[in-house]
Amino acid sequence: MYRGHLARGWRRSRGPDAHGTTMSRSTYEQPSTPPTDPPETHNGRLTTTRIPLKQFKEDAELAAADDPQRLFVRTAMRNVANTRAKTEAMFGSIQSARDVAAAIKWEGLQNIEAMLLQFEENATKNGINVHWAADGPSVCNQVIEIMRQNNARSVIKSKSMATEEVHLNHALLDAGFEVVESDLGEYIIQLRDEAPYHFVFPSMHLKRGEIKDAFDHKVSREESAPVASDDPEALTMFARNIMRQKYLSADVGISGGNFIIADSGAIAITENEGNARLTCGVPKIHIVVVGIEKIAPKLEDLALLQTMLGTAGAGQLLTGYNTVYFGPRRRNENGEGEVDGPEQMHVILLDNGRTKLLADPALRDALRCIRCGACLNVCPIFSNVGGHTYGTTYQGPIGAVISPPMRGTAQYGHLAYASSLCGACTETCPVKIDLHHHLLRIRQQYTVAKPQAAEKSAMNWFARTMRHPLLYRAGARVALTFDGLLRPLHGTRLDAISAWRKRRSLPGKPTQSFTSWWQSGGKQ
Amino acid sequence: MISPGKISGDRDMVLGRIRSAMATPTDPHVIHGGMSPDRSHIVDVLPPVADTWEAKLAALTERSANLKTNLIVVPDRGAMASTVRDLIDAEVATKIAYHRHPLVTPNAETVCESCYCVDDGFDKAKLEQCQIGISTCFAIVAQTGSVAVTAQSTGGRALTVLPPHHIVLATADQVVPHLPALWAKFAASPDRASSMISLISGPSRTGDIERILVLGAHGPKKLTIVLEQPQ
Repeated sequence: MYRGHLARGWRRSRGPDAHGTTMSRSTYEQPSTPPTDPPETHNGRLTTTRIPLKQFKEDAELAAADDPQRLFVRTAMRNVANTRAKTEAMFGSIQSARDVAAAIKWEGLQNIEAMLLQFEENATKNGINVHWAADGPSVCNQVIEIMRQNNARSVIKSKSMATEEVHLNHALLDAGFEVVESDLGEYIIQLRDEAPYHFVFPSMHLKRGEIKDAFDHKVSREESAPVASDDPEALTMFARNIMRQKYLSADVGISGGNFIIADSGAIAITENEGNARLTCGVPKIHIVVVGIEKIAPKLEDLALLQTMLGTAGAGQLLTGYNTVYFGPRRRNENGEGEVDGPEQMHVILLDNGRTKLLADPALRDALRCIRCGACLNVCPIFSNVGGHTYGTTYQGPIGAVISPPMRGTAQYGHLAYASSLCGACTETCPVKIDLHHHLLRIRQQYTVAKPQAAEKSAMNWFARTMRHPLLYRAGARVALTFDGLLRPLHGTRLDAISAWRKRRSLPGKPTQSFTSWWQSGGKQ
Repeated sequence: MISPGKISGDRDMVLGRIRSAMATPTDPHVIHGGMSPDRSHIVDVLPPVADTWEAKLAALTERSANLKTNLIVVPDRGAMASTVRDLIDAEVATKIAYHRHPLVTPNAETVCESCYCVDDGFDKAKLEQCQIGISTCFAIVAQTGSVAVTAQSTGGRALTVLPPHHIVLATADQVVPHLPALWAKFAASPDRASSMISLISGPSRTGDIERILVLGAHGPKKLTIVLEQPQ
């Protein structure tokens, strides 16, 4: 949770730097005694009732004010960047690798209908039940239906952002099922009832003490003895021991998918912990929930795609476990064959707004995304406002590009402004998505989509004033005269530029207007 | 399974949306890395490893150290057997799981009394109690230091991930130089009929707590490869 109280009393300084128009830290000062009451509880839950724009502004302000947290996140991100640079240096050519990876994913997208049908046909031959889901409620209902038909009670899950997107856990809990996240990071945030902070490193914002706290208070003593210490090793082993029993007892394993392999009718899953191996290997039923854009044409493409995912995501040439599932356990009529594996495998192909992104001819390449998270790791905005601020399942530059088309540009278009347009995201993307130009395109769409009446009227008045010198001069005189009188209103809602003033101070009032100064020949 | 009407409803809806979305041609500004990928480049762009034993061993040794995999190269089967015995002794392991294979069976069965073979159907809870799992592999990828296992020929899905110490027994001819070679080998192998292939790169790991590496998050805490030299 953000240390929100730090931010609350921030006030504008009238110190030496007050004329600066930059957002330098020195224009701020912290209150000497931080208020103790935290603002309205915000724990990163996506089910926030606040308007997304308002929520972004409020949370960004709190997060940006939390210096220790920002340093913590920046340090983590810098370490990832360093490891990654070393791994990239091993490549024959990382730049050509990006080209080929982009072309492979693009081939899949260009022929997405044929590729998905090819997958469906091959997967069905492999014994996989292929389902389609147009939106969140549909995928949740289909999972619940599979559970009920098999009299299943409990679910062990491995990491899946597609299920985060549709709030599958809540739907299952509401329907009376038991759901446990097995990925360590996801388990921690599940205990804390939070949304993932980063779609690759869901619990990266938390420190060991906070994690121990969650284990101490959210895990019952029947389930496990208390965790010995806040040492990362001890914390990890605590979760390991709990999960071991869950794998054995769960009726159903639910996973995501990193690649849908069209030519093989298979699902590829990339992970580090081995929890997906156990989730997809031990329970009787395996359900995959995967977005349709994860399509990859050929099995051999994994040689490059999985390498790019590991390298760009965490600086690992390949992550710990890269597994391809071709179906449920295989046996002949006599029961001979594989010794274990699920009896059923279901794949649910999820749209949930992806076709809206596909329908945009300028933005559709964003569906090439392999969800490595590299653009978050290099984004100067992400490390300063934090992942929960975005208020979406997908954070950072890619989140700002795909969330507006998928969830509504009028509601989420403001995310495109959470960028300095430095282009670091585009530079780093392993599948060469033109992220920073897309952010500009989203800004353009947002301008059209959001309510325009107030801005239009303001611009009309501005244009009128600028066209009529008399009106301009009269306006300037009024502004100069009344500036002092209006001072008490500064920073309040009646102040037209209150948002701007929150961060900066205007220079003092000039003694004469520019026009009169010019006419007087430049004499004060 | 699901009521057919609902399924076909969603299927038609999604396919219809895709069709109408793709009716608009892509904006020419979109960067796509070429209209069709040149897959022959994949081997060139990845980290280079030549197809010689020396090059493969050098890459494998370097990657294994990086991944914290314990790589032991042995001259012959006799040395392999004694190495496995030493590993078991070092663990003071009494419960060992394995699957039947010419490389594995003699090593597993001769050294302990309570070996647990997964081939004839097994109890998950019992397998979970085993301290060591011994298996062979489908291939070893020198480029990435990965062990490829399949559900069909390396003892199923759980053996290679449930016991805390996974010992892989392999011969030199199983080592392929790089990932494209692995997928080519897989496509041409009877293992292609397997329901799962998994590339294991090092012991199970996590960095979810303060990005600090911890081994043995869910799967094996130790991964040992005992590799027989070319004969």
